[in-house]
Amino acid sequence: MGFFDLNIPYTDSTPPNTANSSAAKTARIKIVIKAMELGYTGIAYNRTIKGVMSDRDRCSIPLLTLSSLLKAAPFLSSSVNLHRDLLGVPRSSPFRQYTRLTVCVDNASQSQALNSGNPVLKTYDIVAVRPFNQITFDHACEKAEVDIISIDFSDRVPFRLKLPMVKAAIKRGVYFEIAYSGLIVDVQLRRQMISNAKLLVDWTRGKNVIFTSAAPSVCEVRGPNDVANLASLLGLSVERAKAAISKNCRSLLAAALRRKHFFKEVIRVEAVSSSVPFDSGKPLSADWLKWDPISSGEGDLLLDDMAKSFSASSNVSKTVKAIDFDSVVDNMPSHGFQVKDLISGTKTASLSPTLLSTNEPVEFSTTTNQTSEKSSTLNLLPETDKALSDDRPSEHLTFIFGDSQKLYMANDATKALTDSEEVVTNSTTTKEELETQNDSHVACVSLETEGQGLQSENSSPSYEQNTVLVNEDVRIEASGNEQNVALGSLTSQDVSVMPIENEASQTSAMDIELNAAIEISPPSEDNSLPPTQNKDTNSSKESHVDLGAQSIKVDDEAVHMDTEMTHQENTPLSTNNVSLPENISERISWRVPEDAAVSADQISFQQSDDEVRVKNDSLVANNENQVEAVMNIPPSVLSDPWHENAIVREPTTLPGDAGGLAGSNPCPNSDEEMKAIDISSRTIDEIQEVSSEGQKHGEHDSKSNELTLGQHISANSEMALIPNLLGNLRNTIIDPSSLDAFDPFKNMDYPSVATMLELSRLRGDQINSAAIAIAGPRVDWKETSEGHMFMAEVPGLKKEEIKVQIEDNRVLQIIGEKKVDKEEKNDTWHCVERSSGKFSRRFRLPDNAKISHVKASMENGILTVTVPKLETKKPEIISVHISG
Amino acid sequence: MEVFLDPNKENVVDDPIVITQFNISKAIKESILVNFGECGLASSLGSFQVKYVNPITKLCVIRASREDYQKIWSAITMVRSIGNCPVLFNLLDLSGSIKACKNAALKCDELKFEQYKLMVGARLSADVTQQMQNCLEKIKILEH
Repeated sequence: MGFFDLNIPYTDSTPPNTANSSAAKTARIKIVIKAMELGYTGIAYNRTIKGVMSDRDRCSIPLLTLSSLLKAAPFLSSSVNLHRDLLGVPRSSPFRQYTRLTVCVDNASQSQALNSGNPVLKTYDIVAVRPFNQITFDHACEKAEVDIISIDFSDRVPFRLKLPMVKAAIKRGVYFEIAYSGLIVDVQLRRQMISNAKLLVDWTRGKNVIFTSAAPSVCEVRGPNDVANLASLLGLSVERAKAAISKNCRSLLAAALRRKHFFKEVIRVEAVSSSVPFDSGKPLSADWLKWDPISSGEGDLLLDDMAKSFSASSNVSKTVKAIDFDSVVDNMPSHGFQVKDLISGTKTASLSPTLLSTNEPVEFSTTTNQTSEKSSTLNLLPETDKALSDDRPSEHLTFIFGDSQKLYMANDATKALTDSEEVVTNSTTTKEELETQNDSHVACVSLETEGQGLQSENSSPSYEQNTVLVNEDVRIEASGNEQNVALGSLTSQDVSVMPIENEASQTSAMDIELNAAIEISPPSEDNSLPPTQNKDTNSSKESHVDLGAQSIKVDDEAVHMDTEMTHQENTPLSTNNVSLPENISERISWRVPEDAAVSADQISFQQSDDEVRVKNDSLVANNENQVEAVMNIPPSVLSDPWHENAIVREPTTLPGDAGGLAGSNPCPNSDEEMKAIDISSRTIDEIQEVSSEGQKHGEHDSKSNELTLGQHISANSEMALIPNLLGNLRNTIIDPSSLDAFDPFKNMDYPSVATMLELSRLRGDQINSAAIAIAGPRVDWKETSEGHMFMAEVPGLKKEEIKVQIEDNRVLQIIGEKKVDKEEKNDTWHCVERSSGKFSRRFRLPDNAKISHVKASMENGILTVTVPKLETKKPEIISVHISG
Repeated sequence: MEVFLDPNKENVVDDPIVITQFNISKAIKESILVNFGECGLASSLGSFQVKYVNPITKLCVIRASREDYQKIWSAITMVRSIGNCPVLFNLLDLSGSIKACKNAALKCDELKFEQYKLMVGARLSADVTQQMQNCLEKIKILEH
C-alpha cells in the first residue's frame, strides 16, 4: 500500500534569493520529514507556473537527500518505523520523491501547450493543470496530456463542473486533486472548500480523486488516517477516502511514470551502463520481478539506509533508488564546508581576561566534495604572563582584512609599571601548521598589528592594541598569481599570538614597519639554525640593505639571532602548543634593540616539510626583540618557487631609555637559503628609515639606517630582508621610540609596555605609519601662520608632572608621569581603567620651528605647546637687465 | 482512540507548553464548536473525554462515542494550536474498546519513550523515568 502526498509546494528559487530560498528549503525539509514521520511513503514536490511555459521551467527541483533529512531530524527512522507499523506500511518500502509541475492555464493557447510532445513537461514526473475557466477545464478533461486536474476549491470555482467532462476525465485516467490544507488553515476557507469539493466528489463518486496536502508549512500536514477522515467530511466513504491518498495516487504515479519513461508507454528505454556486461544467460524476467511501477528512478529513500546511516551517525548522503541505481549527483549544497569566521571566537575570548586559547575549526569549501579531511584549525593563543593574565585588562580589536580567510587575533595589551628598568617585551608567537594535500600550497600569513593609543573613558591614555592576524592561504598557481586566494588549498594553521607584556616608560606614537621578506627554501634538519646575520642597529650607521642586489647587505648591523629563546624568563612561551611531527623547526630569534622596536617582517618560506609552523616570537626584552620563528614547511612547497609564506610582523616596542637602538632587524636563518621573492614596490615604500634620534646610543645615526631597496628582490637572491625600520622621523611626525607606559599593574613582575603589533600582509595595505599613534596622550598639532601648536590631553596631571623638552634642536618631547594612587594592601580594585605611569610623546619639529621661543601652558588638562615659526626670508631677486 | 500530539518543529526537546488533559480537551472542544457548532458540541460532549495524557511522549487517549467519533476526530485533526503553540494531532490507533486501547497505548507509549530517550540522550533524568512509569501505570488502570 503506501500513502502519498503528491503536493508539497516547492517555491521557485530563481533568481536565487539566498534568504528566501534557504528558508523555503528548510520549510520544505520539515514538511518532508513530517510527512515521512507520519507514515507517507511518497511525496511530490510541486512547482506551480503561470503564464507561458518556457524552457526555464524545466524541472530543476532538487530532491532531498537522506543526509539533509537526517541532519534535521537525526532520529527519524525510529519514528518512521513506529508509524509505518501502525499504518500497516512495510518498513522496507522506500520513501519516494517525485517532481510535479502544475500549470495554471487561463486561455486556450496555454492549454494547447499541454501536449505529449512538450519537452518541458517530460522533465517532470507528474503534470497537473489548474484551469481557470470553462474552456480550459473542458480541454483539460478531454484532451490535455496531464495527470492531475487541480482545482482550487478554497476559492470560488470559476467554471462549472459538468458531469460529461468529469466522466471524460475519469475515463482518460486523469485524477482530480483536492488539497486539504485549506480545510485546516482557515475557517472561512473550510466552508468554501467543503461546499465546492462536495460537488466534485458527487460527480466523481469518489473515483479518481486524490487528496494532497499542499501544505504551506509543516503545521498543515496531517497523517494519512486523519486525512482520510477529513475526506469523509466531503462526502467520501472511508474506503474511497483511503484510496484517495494511497491507491489512486499509486496508480496515478504508475501511469505518469510510464508516460515519462516509456516509449509509447510500452517500451522502456534505459541507458545500459557499459561497465556491466550483458549476461545473456540470465533470464531477463528476473529484472522484471523487481520492477516497481511507481519508482521514478530517483529520489527514493530507503528506510533501511536511513537506519543504517543513522546508526553510523554519518552525514554521508546516500541516494538510494528502488530500481535504477543511478548515482545521483548530490546537488544539495550540504557538502559545502563551513567557513567559520573567527571573529566571533575572538570576541568572546576578548571578554575574558585570561585568554588562553581560542580554537576554531575552519573548514573551507572546496571544489570537490572529498576534501573534508582538509581542515584548518586556527588556534589563537594569546597568552600572557600568568601573573598578568588574571588581572590585566585586555582589549581585543579585530579587523577584517582582505578577502581570504582572516584570522583576527587578539592581543593583550598589557601594561605594567615596574620601578625597575623599563623593559619592553613583545612576543608574538605564530604557529602555523600547514597541512596540504597538494603541493601547490602557499600560506601567507601576514600579521598586522596595530597598536593604537586610545583613550578610555577618563580620557586617560590607555592602550588598546589591535592585533590583526590575517592568515591567508594563498594558493599560487604556476602563474604565480598571488591573487589566487584559493580556499581550495587548505591549510590548517595554528596561529598563536602571544603578546607579552610591554613596559615602557615613554610612550609616543610609533610607526614601525619592518618588512622582511624571507624566503626560505629547504630547511635543514637542524632544529635550530644559527643565525646567519646579525644586525645590530646600534652600529647601524651604514645599514644599507640593497635589495636590488640579490643579496642583502647589512652593514654594521649586528643581528643577534639566537636559536634558543633567551628571553623565556620574560616570556612564557611555553604556551605554544605546537606539535609538529616530522617537522624541522627552525627558530630564529632576532634580537632587536629596543629602538628598533619596529619590525615588520615579511617572511616567505619555502620549505619542504610536511607541516609548516612558524613561530614568531618577537620579544623585546630589555631592549631586545627576539623573534623566534619556527617554521616547518611541507616539502612540496619546495618545488614550487611561488609558494610563499609571508609573515609581516610589526612589533613595536620601544622603551625610552633603552636606547639607542633604532631599527629592528629581522634575521633570516643562516643555513637556509633564502630567496627573495618579489616584493612589490609597495613594500619598498613601507620600508622606512630608522631614526635613532633621542636614543642614547650615540653612535646610532638615523640616517644611516636607511635602507634602500631595489624595486624587486630577485627571487634568486639568497636572502632578502626588507626591514622597515622605525619610522622615518623626517617624514613621520611620530617618533617610534615613544611608548605609552601607563600601567595600572604596577605590582606586576613583568613590566608591561603598550605593545603595538602590526602584522600586515605583504600585499600590504599601505599603512601610513605616521598616522598611527600608539599611545600616550592624544595630541593635536595645528599649524598656523604664526607657528605650530601642540595640544595634548593630559588630564589629571599637574604641570609639575609634565616635562616638555626639545632634543637635538629638533624633537619636541613631552614626558610625563602620572603617579599611581597610594595603594592600600587591603584595597580591592573593582575597576582599573585609569592609567598611570610614564608616557612620552615626541614630535619632530619642522625646520622652520623657532626652537628658542617655544612656550607651553596648561589649562584644564590640556597642555598647549606653541612653537613659533621662523620667518622665512624671501629669496631676494634682483633682476638684471640684459643689454644688447 | 488515541491521538498523537506532535508539537511541531520548534520544540524538538524543550516543550514550549506542557500538555495536560485540560488544555487538550479545551482545544478540541473549541474546534468542535467552530466546526460543528453548538449542536455538534453538545451531542459529543456526553461522551467526549480526554482520558490520558503523557506529557513526555505526547501521547494521549481520547474517548468518543461511536456515533460521533468521526466528527470529533476531524475536529481534532483541524486543531492547529494549543494556546500559542502550534500542534499537529495524528491518530495512532483507533479502537473500539478500552481494553484494546490500553494495549495499543502501552505499546505506543513505550515505543515513543524509546524515541524520546534517543533524542534526549544523556540528559535523561531519573525524574522523567519515574514520571514515565507513573504514566504507564495510569494507562493500565484506565477504565471506560
